[in-house]
Amino acid sequence: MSKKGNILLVEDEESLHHTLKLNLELEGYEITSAYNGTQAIQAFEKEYFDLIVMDVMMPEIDGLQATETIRVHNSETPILILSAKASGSDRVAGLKKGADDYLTKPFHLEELLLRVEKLVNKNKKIQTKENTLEEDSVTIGTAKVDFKAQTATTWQGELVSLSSKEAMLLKLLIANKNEVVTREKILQVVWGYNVYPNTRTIDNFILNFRKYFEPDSRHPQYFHSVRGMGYKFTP
Amino acid sequence: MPLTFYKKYRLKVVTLVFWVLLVYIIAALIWWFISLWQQNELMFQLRLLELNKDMPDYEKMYNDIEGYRQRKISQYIGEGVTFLCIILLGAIFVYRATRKQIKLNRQQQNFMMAVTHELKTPIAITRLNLETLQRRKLNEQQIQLLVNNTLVESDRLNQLVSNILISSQLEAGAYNLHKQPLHFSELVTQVIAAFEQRYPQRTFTQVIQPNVYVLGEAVLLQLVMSNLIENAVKYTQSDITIRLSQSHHNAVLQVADCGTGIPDDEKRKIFEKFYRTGNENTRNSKGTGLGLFICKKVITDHKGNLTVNDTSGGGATFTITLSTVTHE
Repeated sequence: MSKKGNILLVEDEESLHHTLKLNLELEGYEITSAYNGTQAIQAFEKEYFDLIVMDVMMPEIDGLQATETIRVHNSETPILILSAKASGSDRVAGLKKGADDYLTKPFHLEELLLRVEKLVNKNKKIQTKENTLEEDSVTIGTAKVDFKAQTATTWQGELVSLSSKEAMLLKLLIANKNEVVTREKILQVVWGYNVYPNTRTIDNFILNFRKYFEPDSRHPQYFHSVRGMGYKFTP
Repeated sequence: MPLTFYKKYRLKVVTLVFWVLLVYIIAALIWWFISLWQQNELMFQLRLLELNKDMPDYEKMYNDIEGYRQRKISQYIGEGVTFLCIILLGAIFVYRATRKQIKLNRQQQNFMMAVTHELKTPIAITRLNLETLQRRKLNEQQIQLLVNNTLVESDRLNQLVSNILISSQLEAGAYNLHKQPLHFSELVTQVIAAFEQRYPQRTFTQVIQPNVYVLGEAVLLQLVMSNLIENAVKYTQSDITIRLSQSHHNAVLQVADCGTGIPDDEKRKIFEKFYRTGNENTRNSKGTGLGLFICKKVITDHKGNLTVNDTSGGGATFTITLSTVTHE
């Protein structure tokens, strides 16, 4: 992820869309375009975004409805509403539906870019905080993981070395213990995929973990798959 | 709170008040009619009692009293019916005018919403494009694109402002037509050329009969054509065909698209002021609901005709008919 961030730009006015995209790309962001609410929701389901810039008055599904729909599944990704509606009640409606910020048209380019930057950076900080683990070593039942040496002692007492991806996935699951970590999040944090491929990669990793840490890998005690959602670690 | 309640249900409140008043007035009318009738009968009886049957001219006097009674009855019925008719006519008039006004108010609010978007978007785009040009070092092609987009937006803003200004003038009756002979074929060609420049990616097919002259005002007819073509561009993605022909003493201009067309029940409504299809927030295209209203009004003022029909194979065709003049 060499880019500054991944932004979903939802705007139906083509000229505005074009120039906004140009500016954000020049700032180093990677832009995915959507021209109405439906496209926005579809794009959101397929990809990870650091920020969504959302217009309100659009064909089919408007920006407020799209924001609401996205918030049902995801409460993290920041949403910046960009709207011609400037009244207090419009702003309140936008923020109530789950937007993080509201900017009215016409806007200052500089102001928009600064707000975008702040939201993206803040989101990244929160993300890394959530995904980092303070401890250098963790015990799982009778097994033990040493993150510094990138090794693990299995439940049978065998010393195995972990690949860096294995270590990252372990860290992510342990940092979010007792919570379901979605496939999308794993792919994004561990593999750096912004586009979610349909792969069995994670399943193979989980199978390995069960081999290392579960005395009975058919009835896992620590590493659970949650159908249709993701994976969960329970200590 | 009571005020917001009134605002929300204004149409219902006004309708209720109206019916209560109307029923009261008619009931009062009937009541007075009945009591006058009874009074008349009573008078007749009293006068009969006063009459002496032995008087020589009894027959004549009886006939006089009976005649008086008959005249009074006709008078009451006549006046009552006239009164009732006037009240009913007035009531219908007031009812329709009030409802129309309230509905117009509501549409005007929609219009304000649409106008907010329509005015602010071109301004936002212009501003953003200029700021981008100022801030960034762009290549020649990018600069041209931004400049061209900005020009398109200023045209859009200009057309919107013209529509708003002219519709308010037309409404107030403040616009005097200055009709003069116009080279209509040339005017149509110019308008199409402007659109070809604004929307280079769209196809405008033109079949223009040369040397068609009409009596009219160039600015207004230009606005009408722009509105019709702009609608075709906005509401469809299809090719647009513009035909101008002359038959007998009529110039016939057609703007046809191959889009989804206009549903039959909306064909009349689209010419109403502020009428727009769909919800303001999620409509599929932009507009203020003024364009076609102006077109209809301008063409009618030119003693011409504007109609909408289905294009064969889908889409809508708007047809303008204007009487031609010979050019010397």
